[in-house]
Amino acid sequence: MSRGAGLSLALRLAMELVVGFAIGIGIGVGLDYWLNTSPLFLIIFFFLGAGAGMLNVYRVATGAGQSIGYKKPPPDRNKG
Amino acid sequence: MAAEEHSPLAQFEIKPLVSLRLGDLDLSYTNSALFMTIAMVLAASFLLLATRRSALVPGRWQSMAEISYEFVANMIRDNVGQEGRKYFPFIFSLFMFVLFGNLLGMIPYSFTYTSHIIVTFAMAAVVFIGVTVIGFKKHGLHFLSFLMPAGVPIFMAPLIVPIEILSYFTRPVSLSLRLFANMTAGHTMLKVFAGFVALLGVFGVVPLLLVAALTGMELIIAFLQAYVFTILTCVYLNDALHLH
Repeated sequence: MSRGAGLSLALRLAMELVVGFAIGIGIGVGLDYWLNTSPLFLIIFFFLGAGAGMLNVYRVATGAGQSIGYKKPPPDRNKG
Repeated sequence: MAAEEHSPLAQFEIKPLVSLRLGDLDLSYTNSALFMTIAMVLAASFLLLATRRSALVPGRWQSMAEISYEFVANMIRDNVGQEGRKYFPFIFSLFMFVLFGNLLGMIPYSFTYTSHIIVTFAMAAVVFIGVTVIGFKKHGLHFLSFLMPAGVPIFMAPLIVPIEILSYFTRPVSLSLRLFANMTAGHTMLKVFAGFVALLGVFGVVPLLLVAALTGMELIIAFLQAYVFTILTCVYLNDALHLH
């Protein structure tokens, strides 16, 4: 099971990165299509999406929340 | 038989069982909808029948129902805390729906509705919108402070805020994509290896063993992905309920 968990973490890291880029490009192309400003927003949102993807990967890898965590869960919460 | 019927992707085809058209809308009752109905009926009857005679010393079925209840209840308590308790019905239904969808897909000749991105995306979108509404309801406009992580200098705001917004919008996409990709890839892989069994003749024993092993792994993945989908829902809910 630990191997499966490791594999799923690896897949998640790859997916977070790709999804960040994809969302950025999608919003950029959409805005360009809407406002006829190609390729201005594509370029801006490509880099923002890349930043968001890398940020998500960093957060998953450091365990600061599952995807977008702002902080680790408080340790004093009653468990069990 | 046509070659398409042997395609590893033929299992994902949506076939209308009862055609129904309203103007431009296609509201046909498809095999996907059929299996959603089956999953709902199975999940409901499993819980209702298992707890019909609630004994102090639980029988086999009652234990299974209690284990699934406690599993989700613990998940909510550990990840959301006491405030998450009122969202238990929704999260439990979500967990059972995904789990039964994944498990029903493991039965030969059945249909896996979680292998369609529109199904998983619809669920993820409901979670995403619901969590956002809960966050705004609880914190008002203060909820927007999540766009500025603690300790970020103010002159970084023009860069950080758009990145945080985009990062927030990747949530439903990565949530739905994860479940969809896992189910689609697993089922396609099973069918591809099963195709080798017939092609290789005597040596087909090797892929046959592999298919047996992969079926076991797929069962684990079916559980694991339902678990991951639910726990991420809990984490998102926690983020909305407890701001930093």
